[in-house]
Amino acid sequence: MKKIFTYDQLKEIAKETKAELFDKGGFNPGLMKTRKKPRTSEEIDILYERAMERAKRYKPYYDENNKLVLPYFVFLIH
Amino acid sequence: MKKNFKKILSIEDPVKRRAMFVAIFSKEIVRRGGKPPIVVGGEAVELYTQGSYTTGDIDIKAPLEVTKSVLKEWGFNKKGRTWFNKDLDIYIDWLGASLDEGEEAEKRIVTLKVAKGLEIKVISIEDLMIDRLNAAKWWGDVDSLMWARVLLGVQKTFGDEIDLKYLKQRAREEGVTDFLSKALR
Repeated sequence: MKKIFTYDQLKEIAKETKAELFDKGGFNPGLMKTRKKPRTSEEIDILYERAMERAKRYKPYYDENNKLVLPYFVFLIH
Repeated sequence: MKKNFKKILSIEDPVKRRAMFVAIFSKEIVRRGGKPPIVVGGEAVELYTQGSYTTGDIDIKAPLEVTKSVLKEWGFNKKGRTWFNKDLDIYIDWLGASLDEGEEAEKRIVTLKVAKGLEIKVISIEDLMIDRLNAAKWWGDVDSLMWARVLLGVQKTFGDEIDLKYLKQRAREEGVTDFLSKALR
């Protein structure tokens, strides 16, 4: 019988596995940042367009104290 | 702190969770008399692109002693230069106390406001572009040139002109003028 996991269970498993691998030296979050596999120019264009669309959707602005506000990160804390 | 941890853990989106963590962490560092941490590298790209780019860790420049004491108290463990907290699923790469780029880069740091009383200091877009161009040229990261172009576009969306003179000077210093030309094309 197939075991079915919920999203929360999978999230927890991933977190545990990542921490375990990191502890054993098999996972380095810093090294994940370098991509060596080439991309086609179409792929690069799509990624660029997506990022720019997001920047337009969540248009950054300066507040009255000249602090930058990035709407995606505005948290409502009470 | 328990209240803050609960707040961080309640955020499902890891991009937002990391941002919230940095903001609360920065506030705590300042409360204890330290200089506010500066976000650099991938986390800075993640912030400026509002999650279009995602990173695995948080690269920071921060005063060592106070950083160590806060992270230890908050249940982080250290391996090499990376601190991690399994429950929060947050990895912090401590890269030194101040920017390697020097005084001028320190003056250009940008303050992001994420909530009332919560701020994040981030390396300037120009210096971050140079960081990405270095990654493209010297580390062979195939996406970094595109992210440098995205940063340029992001800067335009908030109405700031890129400081071309500074950018070109930094590119010369780092030996990435060829990649800067590609990014500006």
